Amino acid sequence: MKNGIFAAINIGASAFRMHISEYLNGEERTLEYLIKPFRLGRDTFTKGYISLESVYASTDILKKFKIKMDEYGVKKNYVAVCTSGVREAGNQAFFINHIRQETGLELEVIQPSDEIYIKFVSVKNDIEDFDDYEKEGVLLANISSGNIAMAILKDEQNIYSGALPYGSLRLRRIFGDIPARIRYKAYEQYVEKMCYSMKSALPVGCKLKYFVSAGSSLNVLLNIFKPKKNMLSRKQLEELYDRVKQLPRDNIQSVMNIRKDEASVLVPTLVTYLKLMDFIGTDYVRFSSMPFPHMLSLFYTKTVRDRGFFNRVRNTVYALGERFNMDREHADTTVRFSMKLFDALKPLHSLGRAEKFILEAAAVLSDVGYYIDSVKHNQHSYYLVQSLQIPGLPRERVKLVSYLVLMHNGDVDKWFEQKYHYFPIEKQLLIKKLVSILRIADSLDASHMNIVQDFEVEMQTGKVVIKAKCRSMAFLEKHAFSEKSKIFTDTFGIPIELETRILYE
Amino acid sequence: MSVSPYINRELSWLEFNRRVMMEAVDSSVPLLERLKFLAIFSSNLDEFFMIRVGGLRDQIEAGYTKLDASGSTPEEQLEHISAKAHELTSLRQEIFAGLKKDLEKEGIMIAPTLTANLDDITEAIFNEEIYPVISPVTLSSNNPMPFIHNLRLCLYVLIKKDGVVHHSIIILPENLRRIFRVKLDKTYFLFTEDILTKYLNIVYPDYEVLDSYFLRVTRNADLTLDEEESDDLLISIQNFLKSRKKGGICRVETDSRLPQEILDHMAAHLHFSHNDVYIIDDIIDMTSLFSVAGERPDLCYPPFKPVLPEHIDGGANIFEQIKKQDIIMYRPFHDFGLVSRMVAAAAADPDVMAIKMTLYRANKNSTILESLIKAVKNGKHVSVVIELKARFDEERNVDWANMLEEAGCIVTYGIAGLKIHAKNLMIVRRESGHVVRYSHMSTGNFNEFTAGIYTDIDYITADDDVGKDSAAMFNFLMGYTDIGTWNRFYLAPKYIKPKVLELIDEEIAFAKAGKEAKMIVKVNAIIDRTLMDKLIEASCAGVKIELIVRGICGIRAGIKGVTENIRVRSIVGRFLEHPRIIYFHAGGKKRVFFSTADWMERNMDRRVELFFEVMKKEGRNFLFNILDLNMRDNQKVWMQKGSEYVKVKGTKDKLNYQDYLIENNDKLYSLKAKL
Amino acid sequence: MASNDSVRVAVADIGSNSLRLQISEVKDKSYRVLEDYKEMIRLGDAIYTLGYFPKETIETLVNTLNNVRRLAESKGCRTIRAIATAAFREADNLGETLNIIEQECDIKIEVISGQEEARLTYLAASANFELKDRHALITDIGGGSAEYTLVKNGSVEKAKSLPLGCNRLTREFLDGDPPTSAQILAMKEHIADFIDKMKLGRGIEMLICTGGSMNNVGYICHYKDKVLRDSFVKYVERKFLKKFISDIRVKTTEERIKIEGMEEKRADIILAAAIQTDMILEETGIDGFYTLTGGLRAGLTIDTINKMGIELPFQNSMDGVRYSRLIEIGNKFDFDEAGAFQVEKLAKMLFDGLKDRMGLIERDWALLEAAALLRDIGKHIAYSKHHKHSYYMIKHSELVGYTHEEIEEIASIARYHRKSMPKTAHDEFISLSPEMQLRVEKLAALLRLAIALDRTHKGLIDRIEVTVTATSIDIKPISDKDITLEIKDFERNRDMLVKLLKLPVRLV
Repeated sequence: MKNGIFAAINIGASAFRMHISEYLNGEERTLEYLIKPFRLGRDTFTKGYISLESVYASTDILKKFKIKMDEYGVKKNYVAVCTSGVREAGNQAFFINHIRQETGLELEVIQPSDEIYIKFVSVKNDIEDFDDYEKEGVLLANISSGNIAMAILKDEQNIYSGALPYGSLRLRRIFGDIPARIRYKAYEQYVEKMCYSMKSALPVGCKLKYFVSAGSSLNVLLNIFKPKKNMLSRKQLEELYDRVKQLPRDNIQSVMNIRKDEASVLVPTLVTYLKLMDFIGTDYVRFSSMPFPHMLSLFYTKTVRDRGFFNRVRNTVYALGERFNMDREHADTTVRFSMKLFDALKPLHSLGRAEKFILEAAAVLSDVGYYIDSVKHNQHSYYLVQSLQIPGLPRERVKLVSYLVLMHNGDVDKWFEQKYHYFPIEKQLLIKKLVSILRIADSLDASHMNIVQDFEVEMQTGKVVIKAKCRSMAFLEKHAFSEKSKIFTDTFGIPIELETRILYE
Repeated sequence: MSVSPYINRELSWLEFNRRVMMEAVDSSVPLLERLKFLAIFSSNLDEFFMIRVGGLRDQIEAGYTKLDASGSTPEEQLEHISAKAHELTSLRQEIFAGLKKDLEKEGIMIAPTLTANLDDITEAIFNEEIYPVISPVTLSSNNPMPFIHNLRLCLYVLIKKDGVVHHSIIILPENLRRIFRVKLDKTYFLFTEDILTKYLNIVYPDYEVLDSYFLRVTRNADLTLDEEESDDLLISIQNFLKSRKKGGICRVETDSRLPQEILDHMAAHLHFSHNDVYIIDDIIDMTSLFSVAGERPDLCYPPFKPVLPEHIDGGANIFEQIKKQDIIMYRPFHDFGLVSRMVAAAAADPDVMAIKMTLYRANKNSTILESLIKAVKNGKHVSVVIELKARFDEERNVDWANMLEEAGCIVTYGIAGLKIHAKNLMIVRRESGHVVRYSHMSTGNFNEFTAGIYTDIDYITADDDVGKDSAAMFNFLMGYTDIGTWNRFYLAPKYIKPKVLELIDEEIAFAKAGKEAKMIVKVNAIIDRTLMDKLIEASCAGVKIELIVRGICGIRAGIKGVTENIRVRSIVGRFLEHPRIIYFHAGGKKRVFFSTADWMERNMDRRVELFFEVMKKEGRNFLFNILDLNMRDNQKVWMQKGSEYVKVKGTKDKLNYQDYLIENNDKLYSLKAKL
Repeated sequence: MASNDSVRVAVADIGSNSLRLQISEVKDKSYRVLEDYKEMIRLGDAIYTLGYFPKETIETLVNTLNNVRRLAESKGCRTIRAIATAAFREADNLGETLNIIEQECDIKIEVISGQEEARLTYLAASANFELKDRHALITDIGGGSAEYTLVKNGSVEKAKSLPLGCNRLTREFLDGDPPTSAQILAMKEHIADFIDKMKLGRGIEMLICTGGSMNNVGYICHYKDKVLRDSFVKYVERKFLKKFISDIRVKTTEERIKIEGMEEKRADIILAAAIQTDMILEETGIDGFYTLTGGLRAGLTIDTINKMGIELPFQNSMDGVRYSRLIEIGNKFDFDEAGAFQVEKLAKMLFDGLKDRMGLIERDWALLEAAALLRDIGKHIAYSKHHKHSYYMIKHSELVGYTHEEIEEIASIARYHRKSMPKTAHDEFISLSPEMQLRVEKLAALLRLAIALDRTHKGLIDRIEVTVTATSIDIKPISDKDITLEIKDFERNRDMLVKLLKLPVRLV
């Protein structure tokens, strides 16, 4: 981030928060941190929309935040993100529009996967040996009032990522009418169910070692325990749980000397932590005490970076392929070929590293649709890729990958005519360029037999020639090539030819 | 029966007011200043009746019977108060009589007998000033008694016509001047009521004036009590408060000549008892003496000019100096004008982005507020948190609020239910891309007038941790945030008391471990029950406790086995002692704090107050010196003995610390006090 | 890459028109198709004109089979089981051809009889349709012959191979382009002779057509619906067939090709197949027929698996094919079996108690049952939005014993088992017919309650008693455990049912 003052606003389900930082020569300094507890989620989680009253109350809070920004002369240098309280509200658009009109603030709604990713990047930069955790298996849980967003990392892969509707405020709302004395049992059962869902979503036998928490739920625990290190033990939490699980909120509030809103979510929060510790089999929960808006600030100003991002996303993409029984050999070959083509054809397409990675991901994932059915497997691949959430990989990129896998075989023109004609022309072109390369790479191993060992790309006058070295006659490859290369010619305006040469046998 | 370690709050306060009055007999105090102390005493006592006595009456009417710390019911307390107030009132008359004589020797005649040489003047005053504005009310069965306003002086007149005696009342209008200064051979201060008495026959032309008497009633002030009282009391009389009759009578002052049957008649109609009657055969309402107090500079304290500490350059860039070193000052010896000039500089400084301050009591023509308005015009972001409920200053603060708002300041009025008593000022400045926050914290108001008569600490720093806290505090007060995280500030209502208790506990632990354990508490009042009990616990554990309490102190020191390690002293002098400075030995770490909070429930639980530890060596030493000088003062100190205070004047090594600092304020930086 | 405990099977079916390869993975008593590969070779053109395979045709065969073999090997299959049907059966140089192929391609082709062909087709049909208590006719109108298989009560009663392949019929009768009415009439008479001999009668409830031409008809019929047109099983109403016939019989081949969905190489022969099928419908009085894609191949795959000593669940007489297939699909996507059964059980009790009140019929249970079992398979993709994933996966998993519409309904019921209720903004939902929509709503309402009553996933409720009165529905869960959470969740989920029944639904 260039020097200046940056404001990060988070509109959460239970509070509005703003963090103001000064950036000077790459150093961040927190100037201010504001918190206005406000239960936006109370409306959203029970009624499904934000009541007008709450819209007005939110406006008042944000007006004040805006004054604060003016004080520092923050103009466009801010980000204001909404999480579940707004995300799940039916009248989201009205809310955002009203805030814009009244305060001039542009709100952005972020997805749970983005949220957890920002936290992941922050935690990675904040917890010293997090890289080890990533190798040995870590559950990163963003336990907030609305949702629990989780990312599981192991062997430097993202093996699970998802958001479950088990936030503490939500739990509190669901079981509000059960008597306090036995309500904890309901929480326990409910959270067990969540762990069950998680377990079924994980690869069999997947063992984790660390538990890192990063949500707003942490605040109440920090207020109570005031831990010196960024760690809490199961014993501490269990003792506290036994003390408070049957108490009514008001008692909890006075006994623990915490705020009312904190008291009301303490028990569900503890249940969630303890059950997750059981789930992982650890006795400790680690955390970063950095508040979310602070993380937002560092993230959006690019002050913290995701070291190893490409590597991890790549690992994750391959792991997804494995999950859907991809033909690893074929995938490797397709990747190798498409990367080689991408590099060799650079003068033609002039695309960069990010696009190259989209191509790689598509090469890995193009056949995962076989998992659902072999008929129209490309469409199933498309569906599966669309359903993927890879933290840190913007949705738009995931979509690009899905278009590529869809069109890696079949009639490209048809898709463009029927489905993607409304895309901006640049985007269409980008997809066509990558699809052209992917289809050629795919056709070069059409038999899945690795017949084409390697190839050279020659840019001749008026045509591109691929000179392939083969183990044996590449019938299928040639056939597929002739079928699949049309889009290449259409896209780049230059024909491409395949010459095969048998090396031995 | 063992002696209670607690002293009733009201009685302790009356004792404090006695100390104020006793300044009037201190021969080292100039004559007119002594007169002023009587005026202060009187003004204080009026307020006491309106608020404290009024409050006790509310309690009784609401049926609240809980005992106070010292074990008295509200009725018993009223009895004790009445006895002591009668005693003090009589004493005041004696003292006044003495001062009056002394002043006559100086040619200053206060409420003299209206001799013939004054006739021309009194007649003119009567005709020009008095007669046009008075309206007598003659009592009848239809009109047995008019409403008599609080603290309004009245004449009760007996008149006769056609053999029938009529009763009449003249209530002196509020806008009527009380004193007329006449300079002839001597300077005469003529009182309106004396002149009016003299010309009553003109007021009642067709009647024969038989006699007249002075009368003044003090009513229960219609203040809501939430600020003053403890929570449990509030809850029990809450409902009553809604329905109580406004302004019942707490005190009746009259002269001794008033016939008993008239008094009885009035008591029946105005609902007061004989205990509430105070006989005063001289000037009723001595607060009027303030207007005499400035009469002759040679009979007042010699003037002095506050100065800047030697190491501060008034001409140079103030911000550069603060960044180099924190500034600590002691008003009124040091010049509060530095703060005003800092704000003025900020208003004009292009690098300043924002100025924020709290406003509790500002003076008229405040240069600080003028600077704020200039700052807004210069495009700065100016925020002011105004406490509207500062007692008796409400109106002035509303005016200020409107003016600031019109100018474009962001004005907020604090948090519901919490009076804002912390006094902070923050200047946000951008210096080569870096935001620097200058924080000013004080135990005194931003009031350039009281800055000259109250003693207070001013502390200015550019420390970023403090800056963060200042920013957070303003955010909190302005409703931008509800939760603050604090590095250096401890703020009431949530954090001061627990912190103080924690610090005392630490001393207790040291004492129990056989180590040196000591604390010095300089505040204006100690009455918070939790804190008192903790002090008693500490005393029992062997912690040496020095309490320097200007006003109310609910602890009775020196009870064997209970409070024997506690000493209580009180300083009453030329300047009103105002800072709160708390010192803990802390096992040799010697921690020292200043604060805006007295040790009263209202400060700890219902106000926003600041408690701040001074960490820098220079600042600590500065505060040590103040405490040390307080302890060494042997001219203005009263020591608590039993339930009373006695002044123990030293005869050698005389030290009146306030006087000493007028001449030697820089010693606060250079002395090396050993506490 | 094949995992350790799975085996891959490749089968090839060399028909008169095309050569098709199917590669499947067999695992845990189930299989899934990995690859379907098709090459049009039109052997029939030569056989039905020359009567033998000319040299060029054999060359094409060898090349194609070599490609196919490589493809199969690349997929981890050791061998290919290849069968050939009518075209081979009738080739004069059959032995020579088989020898050449065996030498050049290392593939031994089994030339199967029409009977065997019928049996294999039946195997495939029984994997896709619930044939247990039904009378059905399966036809496979190929290029040369047409296989008729008559199924009664779940077993093959008789199978006949008739010389009614559509290539053959077209060449013999429909010489004109377009054919004349007289030509068509002659063909119909020829066909009628054979059909009469079959003595089909009126007892047949169901006609299933395999074979490329009729599949093409199904494809054209559903061309507008891209999901439907690609599904294995399609239903075609006779109404459509009649219109289709009257439409194309006057068209030249050139003109027919322009019809959307028409396979170019079938445009000439498709009429013969269509007419033949219509005649069967006429004869049996059925209103429409099902098409089954890849019937012979699928049967061949199943037969091959059987030969490996593995019997597939639907072949197990204890459970219906339909049900086994549901469990198979559930297993494929790692469903929680115990949980699924518990919800199924509760749903059944609710269904039985409420079906009359709700105007549901017994058949509807089959839909609810499938949805109850498969509602969560979407979790295999991702937890979030898993109901939507379930929808997609159910729609694309080849359920057996359900019509296309029914599968659509099952997918929708599963989709509405959680989160939002059906809305007009949901495209898939509004594309259902009003009756289907209503049925989906009813069944989803029951499913939600059944799920709620197993909220803890612990199977705490043994039984439910449903009492329907004029003023309320009383539901009484029988359990000796703590079912607080279930009760709570029930209360939250009963709105949909209350809305539908316009009666209070109480938990007693």
